[in-house]
Amino acid sequence: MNEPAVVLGVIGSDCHSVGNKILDAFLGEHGFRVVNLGVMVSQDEFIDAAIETGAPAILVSSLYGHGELDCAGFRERCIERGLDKVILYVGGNLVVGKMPREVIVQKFLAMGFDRVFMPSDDLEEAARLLHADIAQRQWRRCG
Amino acid sequence: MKRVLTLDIGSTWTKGALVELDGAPRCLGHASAPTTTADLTLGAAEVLRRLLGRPSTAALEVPAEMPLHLSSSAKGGLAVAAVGLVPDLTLHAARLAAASAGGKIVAHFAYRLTPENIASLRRLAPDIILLAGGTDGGNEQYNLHNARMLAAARLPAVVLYAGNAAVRGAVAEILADRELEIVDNLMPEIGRLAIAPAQSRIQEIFLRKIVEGKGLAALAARCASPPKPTPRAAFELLEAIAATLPDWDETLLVDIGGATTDVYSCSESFVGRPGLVLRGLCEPRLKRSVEGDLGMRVNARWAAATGQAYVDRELAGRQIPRERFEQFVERASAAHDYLPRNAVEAACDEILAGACLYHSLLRHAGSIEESYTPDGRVLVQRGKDLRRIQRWVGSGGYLARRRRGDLEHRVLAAIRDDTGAARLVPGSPDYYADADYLWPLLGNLAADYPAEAAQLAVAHLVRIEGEAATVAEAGKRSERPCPILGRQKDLGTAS
Repeated sequence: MNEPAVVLGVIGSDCHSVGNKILDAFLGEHGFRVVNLGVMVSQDEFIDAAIETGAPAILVSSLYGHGELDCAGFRERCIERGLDKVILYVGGNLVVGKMPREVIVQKFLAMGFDRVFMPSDDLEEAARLLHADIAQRQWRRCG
Repeated sequence: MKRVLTLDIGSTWTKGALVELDGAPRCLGHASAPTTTADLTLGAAEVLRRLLGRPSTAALEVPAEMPLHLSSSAKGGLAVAAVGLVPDLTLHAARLAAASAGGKIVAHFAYRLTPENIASLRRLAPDIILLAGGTDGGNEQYNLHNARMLAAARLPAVVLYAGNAAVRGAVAEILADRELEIVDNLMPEIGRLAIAPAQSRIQEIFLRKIVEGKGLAALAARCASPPKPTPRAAFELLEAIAATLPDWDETLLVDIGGATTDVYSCSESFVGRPGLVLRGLCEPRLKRSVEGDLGMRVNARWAAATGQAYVDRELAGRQIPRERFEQFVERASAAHDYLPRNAVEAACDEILAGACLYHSLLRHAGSIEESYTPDGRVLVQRGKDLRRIQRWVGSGGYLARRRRGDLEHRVLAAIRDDTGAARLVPGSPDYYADADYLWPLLGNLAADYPAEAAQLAVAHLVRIEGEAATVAEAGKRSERPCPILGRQKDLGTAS
């Protein structure tokens, strides 16, 4: 029970489930208690699960190119529902077509996500960052 | 010769039956008398005397060779307030647990309890406050806050904690000088329901508190099995029917009473197939929902307000002026035993029943919607799928007296039309009426004699359809074991 909980799911009308299962298994092996909501998850379902499980982080996947639409207003909704300090990660094929990495990252950072990942990014590195972000957030909360 | 007595003490009527269980089970007789609120044993004794053919002066005695089984919804039944965290998750689970244990849910609150919530708890005076919230190892603050609010409020209710196991100790400390019971979390992980422990503890509390507190102790002492809340008896009967009669494994039971409308469903909640996804909780196979704002008498005004769109359409269709309907609703809410005085009032009564049916089914049933993804069309289901249900049983008050199923049929069609078939209500089930008011009585026997109770319950149903009544099983019905209790006016006894 000491492992931090993280809420995981694929947002919107996206039903790509393979990557979701890989992430679930990978994060489970890397010290996280994964609350996997599967595919076609709405913003409110992510937030409901984070409230009930007390998870410090929500990891949003989007693989079908509509990530920008589906993720719009996510941070605001978290704040609205009392999750004002939750860590938000987003990753996947976030936009349709070719767009420079920096543009995509900026777009999602501006929407209030803490970190943005591309399909080519290293998962080990992502897990390390997630542990560090959670530890820092908890330190902040205690301090 | 194995004979048993079964008794149900409702808010206005006490009913009883004498049942023979050997060989082919039969109902040897049934009787009813007004519930005697001041001392519930008096009305019960009267019913027992009638069943046993004793003079009305005889003392209450239960023959040693005839075990007695009892249920009660008298004096407000078992009033439960459900407190959870997120409405769609732990609060939903808490409501399911309370309803399936036979409770009447008088209030439900999500997130943090406020002083206003505490004030309404004080006013509604539930017997049990079911405190849920957080998965195991999950959220802690909300439960701790709510426990502190309840500790400070010093309400007379038993607090039943069924939330995050990690803060059990802390909750016990906060509520140390209150009456507190603790059971396993009813949602240990997101999406996993584990309502059985909370459900059985609610029944234990019912036995300990309600049976004594509401004057049932003397009767309970004579019972062969623990007394139960009336809705729990119906729940157990449906369970026994599904378990012992293969033909009846998917059944809906609807009871429109004076104060509430109860819907019980027994059917597979979600049957997966490619292209169909379930979102939210997978609801239990056996589910009860109680609608406290949908009733034919005490809550007639609420039902009319909730069902306004349905009512308006029906009034227009039948060319009944709105004032006539409103006048009827006023009269019905003023007198709990009010009966329609003429054809127009009878039509208004039916419209009111239709509104109760429409909204209780809308809330009980799940939904389905189409979603287009780059991979094609996907159907998303939420809640419970009732479409495969083949049998519909109307019990209690209004529906038990009906001999035509046209209202039920029209309501189902209206829901499908209005929602574009997005609500997962039954398609075209066969309709039956519990014409002899035997279902809760047989429910009392369901735990001890499931096969016999199930067989009798189904044999006593009247099959109703379209315009006229037909008979369920013609052979059996021609020698009716019991007369219909047609004289009853107890619309308010549902639960």
